[in-house]
Amino acid sequence: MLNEDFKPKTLEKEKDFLILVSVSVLFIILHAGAVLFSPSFADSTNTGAGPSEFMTENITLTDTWNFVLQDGGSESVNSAFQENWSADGWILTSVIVEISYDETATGDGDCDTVSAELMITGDSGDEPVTSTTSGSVSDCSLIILEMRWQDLTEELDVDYLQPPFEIETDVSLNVDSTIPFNDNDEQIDVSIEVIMSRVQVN
Amino acid sequence: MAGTGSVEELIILSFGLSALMGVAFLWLSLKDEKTSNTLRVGLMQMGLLFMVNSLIFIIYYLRADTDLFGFSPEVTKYLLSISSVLNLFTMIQIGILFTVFPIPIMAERKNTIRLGSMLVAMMCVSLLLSNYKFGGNTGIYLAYNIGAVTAIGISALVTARWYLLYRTDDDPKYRNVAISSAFLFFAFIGSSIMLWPYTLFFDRRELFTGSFLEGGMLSETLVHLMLVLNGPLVTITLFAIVIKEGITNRDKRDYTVIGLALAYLLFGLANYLVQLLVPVDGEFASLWNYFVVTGTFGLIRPLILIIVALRFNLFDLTNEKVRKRTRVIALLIITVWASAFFEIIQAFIPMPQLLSAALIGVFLAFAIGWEDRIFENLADRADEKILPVSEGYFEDEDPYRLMMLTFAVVVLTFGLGILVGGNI
Repeated sequence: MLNEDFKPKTLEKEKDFLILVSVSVLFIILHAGAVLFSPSFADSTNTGAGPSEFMTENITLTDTWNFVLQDGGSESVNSAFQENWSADGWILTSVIVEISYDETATGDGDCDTVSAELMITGDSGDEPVTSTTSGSVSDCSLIILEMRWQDLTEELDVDYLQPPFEIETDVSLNVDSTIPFNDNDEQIDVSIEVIMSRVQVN
Repeated sequence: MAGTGSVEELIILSFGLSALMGVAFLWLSLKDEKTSNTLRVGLMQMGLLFMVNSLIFIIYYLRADTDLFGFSPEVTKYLLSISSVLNLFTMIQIGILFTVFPIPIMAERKNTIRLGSMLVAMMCVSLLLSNYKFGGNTGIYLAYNIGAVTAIGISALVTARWYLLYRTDDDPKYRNVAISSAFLFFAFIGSSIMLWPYTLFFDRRELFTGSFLEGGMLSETLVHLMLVLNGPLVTITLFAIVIKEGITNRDKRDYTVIGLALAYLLFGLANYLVQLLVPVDGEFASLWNYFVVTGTFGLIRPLILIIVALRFNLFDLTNEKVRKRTRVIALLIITVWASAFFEIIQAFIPMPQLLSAALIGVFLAFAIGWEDRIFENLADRADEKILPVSEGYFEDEDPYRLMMLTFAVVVLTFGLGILVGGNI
């Protein structure tokens, strides 16, 4: 199969090549050992902490909005994450949105109905492990919407969402006042907490 | 110190040089039917490599100034993935070249074809699988490393074998096999050879230096382990060449090979010191990295391959028509090469345009004189068979077939680039 000129020759002729192969194999073994065991070759994604030798870095970003809604009205709030986040290795692991409001009308016994919906546009990936993307309350309690993906692990089986993407929360109000024209301007507070994660870079 | 402008100018000049070399080698390989088909196929493969390189330079230029062309970030991403897949393909082309030149390593033509097809298939499969597993930049980076490890492994092993078996052979034709394979080794594996201090000093190298890609979520240990396979092979081959040339008898010594080996040895050490001493995020370091990478495969490679083509009679210089046209091409190549060389010098040592133009003029005056003398000498020994090629190994149509096949694979790499680019 090999060219006659390329085929193995006598030991005398092959001596130089055999020395080269032996030294190369020795260096390959030594280097493999250095990569695996020497601290100077330690993976920058490893910190030596924990048995998995895998460390992640998290960053929590929060934002709040206040707006006034009238009966039947709705409002969207957006948090945009640009491409530079991806370039730095960040991925989305959690979004928690809290929508709170109070019944402002004096003497009004009924709370208004506030509905909210959470969505992410721009990138698709695996479904979150915990997901509550819509909610509606009419008892002045807190609405919590969330999307949580599993923690960043070494297995890398999860297709996480990578910027650019936009987190959008739509909030709408239906007034259920027992007193006509009593409370037409409800104050809604929206707070968002986004956790971005990446493999730690030293 | 010069900035982005110099980088763009060097890209244009490198494109010009690659395109000129590519077209010249393709034309010579197709038109020259007097030369052995084995040498024509080798020359064709070198020409095709330059053509693919020139395509890569076009894409680099398009990416270098996206505002000028008004490309959206989406288009820029696809350009990055296409150029990266083309880079991977050039690694495979280098692997294939070493299996056919200076003499084919397989006994039969059909086995050479199978080996080449296997390498191309491996490129496609590794790209698709790594893209499926990791996606985006990480997938391309992994596939590129698989291709690079394979191609550099083949190149270094074949070179080491030809060189050490035949360097001191009594038959001058076989000695030329050893010498020409060493030239090829320096021309195509130059940037890996320069990393020899990292292997010898067991130092960790910056994985993404000069690369447009990044490992992303890929474990650095995995990448280092992959590089462990060919780093020692390339370094030991370099030192084997230096030692062998040092102990070879005077009548068999080759001063060009000695010069190249020492140049790579010293330049590798200088590069190592720069990486060690200069802050990695400084302007000098980024310029140095760019010019070292582009300089070695944009400038040094063409120069070595011109020597290979002329010295080992890869085309028929007895033909007056071929000789005249080759001289014109040689003059063009010298001019573009000189401009690119001074572009690098100017990036580090700013000098007035008038002074650099004068220096280029002086350089060209000497180069043209040199070219004239070289061609006269070459014409005198153009009939000699320099390499021990077997006449019936490749068919007459094989250079043309190789060109068309490469064209088809380039179209395929564009498709693969667009496919994997969607995940960046």
